[in-house]
Amino acid sequence: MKKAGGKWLGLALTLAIVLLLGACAGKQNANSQETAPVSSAPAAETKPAEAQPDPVTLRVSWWGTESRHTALLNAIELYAGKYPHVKIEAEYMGFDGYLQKLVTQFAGGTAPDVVFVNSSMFSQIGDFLLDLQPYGELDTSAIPEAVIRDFDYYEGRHLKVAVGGSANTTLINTGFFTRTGLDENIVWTWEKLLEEGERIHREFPDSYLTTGDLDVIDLIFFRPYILQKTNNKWVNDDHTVGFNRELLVEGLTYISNLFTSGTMEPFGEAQAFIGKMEQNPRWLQNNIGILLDVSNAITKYKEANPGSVLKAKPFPEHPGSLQSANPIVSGSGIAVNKETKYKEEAVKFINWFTNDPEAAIVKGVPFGPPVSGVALQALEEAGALDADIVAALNFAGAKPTSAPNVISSNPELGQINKDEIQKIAFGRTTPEKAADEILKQYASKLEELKKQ
Amino acid sequence: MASANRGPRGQAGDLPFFNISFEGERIMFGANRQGLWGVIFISPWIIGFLAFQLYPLVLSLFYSFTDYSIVRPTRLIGGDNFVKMFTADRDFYPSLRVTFLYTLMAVPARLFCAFCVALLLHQKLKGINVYRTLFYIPSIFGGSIAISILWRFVFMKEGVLNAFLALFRIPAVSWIGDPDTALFTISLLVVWQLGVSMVLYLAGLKQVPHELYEAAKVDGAGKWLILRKITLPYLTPIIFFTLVMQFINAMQEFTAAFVITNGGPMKATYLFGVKIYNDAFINFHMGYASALSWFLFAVMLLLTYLLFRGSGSWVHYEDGGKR
Repeated sequence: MKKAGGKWLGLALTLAIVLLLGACAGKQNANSQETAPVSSAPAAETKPAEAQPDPVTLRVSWWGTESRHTALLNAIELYAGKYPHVKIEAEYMGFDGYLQKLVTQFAGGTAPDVVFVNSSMFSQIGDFLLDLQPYGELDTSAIPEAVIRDFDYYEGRHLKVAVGGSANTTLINTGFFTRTGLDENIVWTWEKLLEEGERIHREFPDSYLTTGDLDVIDLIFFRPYILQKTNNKWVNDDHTVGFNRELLVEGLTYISNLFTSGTMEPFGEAQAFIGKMEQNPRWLQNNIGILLDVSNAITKYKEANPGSVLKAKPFPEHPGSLQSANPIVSGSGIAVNKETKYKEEAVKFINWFTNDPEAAIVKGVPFGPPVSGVALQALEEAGALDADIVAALNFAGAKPTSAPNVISSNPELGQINKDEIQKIAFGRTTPEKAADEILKQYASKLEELKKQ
Repeated sequence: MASANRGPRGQAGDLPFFNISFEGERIMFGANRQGLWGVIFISPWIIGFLAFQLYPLVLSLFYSFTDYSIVRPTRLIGGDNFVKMFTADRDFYPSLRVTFLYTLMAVPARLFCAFCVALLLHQKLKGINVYRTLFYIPSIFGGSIAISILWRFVFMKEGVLNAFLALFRIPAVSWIGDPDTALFTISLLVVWQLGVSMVLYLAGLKQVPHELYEAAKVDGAGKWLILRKITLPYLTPIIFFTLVMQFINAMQEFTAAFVITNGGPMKATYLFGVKIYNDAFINFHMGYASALSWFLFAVMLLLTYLLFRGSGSWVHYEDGGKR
């Protein structure tokens, strides 16, 4: 009896340990980035008992920084107040790993009901998103047709509703400009950047006119430099490249000159801050004069460097360029998981998020100025738009350019550029050899992507 | 093993879960209660092993013969992934080379440093345990994200190390931003975490018979000769064990390279683990990444086998000297 009793006790202890470990693994960690606060409806607005719709729980996920999380949580709280039967569970995190998490969730059937996505993600998750065309209750009349056509559609399906616009911009540090004798009103061309950059580094050896991580150099220096000399996209929809060897050599030579002239901070030093240029000590110490980045990033640069006066200026262009290669991109948007049980409620949430003036005020501009005319007007009337972000978009909108397509933002193609740019930056190859390598790799990769 | 003896009343044979016995022509089965209880108690581990180790292992082997990408339907493609690996992936050989270089740098350095520290700490001094603890603390941190981020801030151009070197007017070096120094810098992280190996060596040093040291001193042997002829031979089994374990860990290294340098600059730290991650989770070529993983496994298996084969000539065991 004693032995049997001991065994039962042992078995009970084993089960208890297993359950405890299982509970700990599944428990939401309060320190985790991905918190899931549950919004519950206050009792203020309740419908009469006989008209109460069935309770609905919507999971909504997005990426961003703290300011975006706060803005969207405020919006969710407002929505929950208006529609008490809807409980919204927010799931948010930084951008690093967001797509990977989303893909895994879609594959495992555990994806949220409503997801914030970017157009560049369509090739991976497009098949998991609901086609919004049949949903007449979704009002997109306040959104420019070009935006819907260029950024919200993929393979003939309306997959998301754009929530904000951004464009590349030139962000100047006015204190640096004063110290180094630069005129704030310079009309920047690519060659002017080199000319002034060389002078500044010669006179102020600890300072550089600009800096950039590998993604910025590829997407905001290299590609626009080349595309402004064409009327093409980077990769055309038929999987042909929009550039030639000569243009590649010119672009890569320019990148090389940025480093050899001292215009750009040495490559190795900037790479410690990939995706976090606002943490670059030289930028924080006002030893960098210009950042080329997307307009949505203006907020984080201002927050990181509150003692400096930063202003948005027009993006650099070649004199007589064929296009600005700086489109207003409405890549970020809100979409619905096609497997959700609550399709109508999800679409209703999107409609409210996009068009409700009160929502626009409460959430502000977490994804840049809204593309919906209704929301934009509400924010303008409330004086809630950052003047520099609006200026950046106005500069970009002044000259027409071709809209980006999904294939051009393929990460494997981007990696090909970045590999050669690195070799150029470290002086390990010539522009000619790098151009040949890019063309060769692109040919092979585009062939592979065509078959998928 | 079960053994059933026939006869009017056969002896019971014991299997883990049940007994077999014979009564005449009848075979009787009875539950082996003790064995059954044992299985019940280890069942959590068995379930975990089956669900989280064996099943993923078998599935990844299957995926290595497909074009599995999570987002698209999966097709069997035979050995195409393995062919691509050797013939069409421009990062395959460079990544393998970097991984071997990293292993050849990090493993011997860690073994050597751990051994030296163990020798230093193998003394009867007041407070020696405090020093042992201090040297062990880095191992507790492990290869965590936080430590990797800390490493980045120590070794970047404007980091702590260069600030220290500036005190001696040594020019700043871009330790993690220069392709020539980046791999060495991230291998230092592994060397820094020498605590576990140090503890093993300390334990081994305590096992060396004191009579041998005394006899050697009586014969006039110096410290260097004692180290070479007595201490080292006695420690070779532990050295071999740590060599094998650290070799396996180094070949699979991921966190430091991913967090500190993200495989750069110029893929100077593009370890095989980082490559597998990128192919799987950035490019969504899960099938190909599975094939890469099995290739790495095969390489590690082969090299570990070679290590074992070669150990006979230099590893000395107490039971009869050489194996």
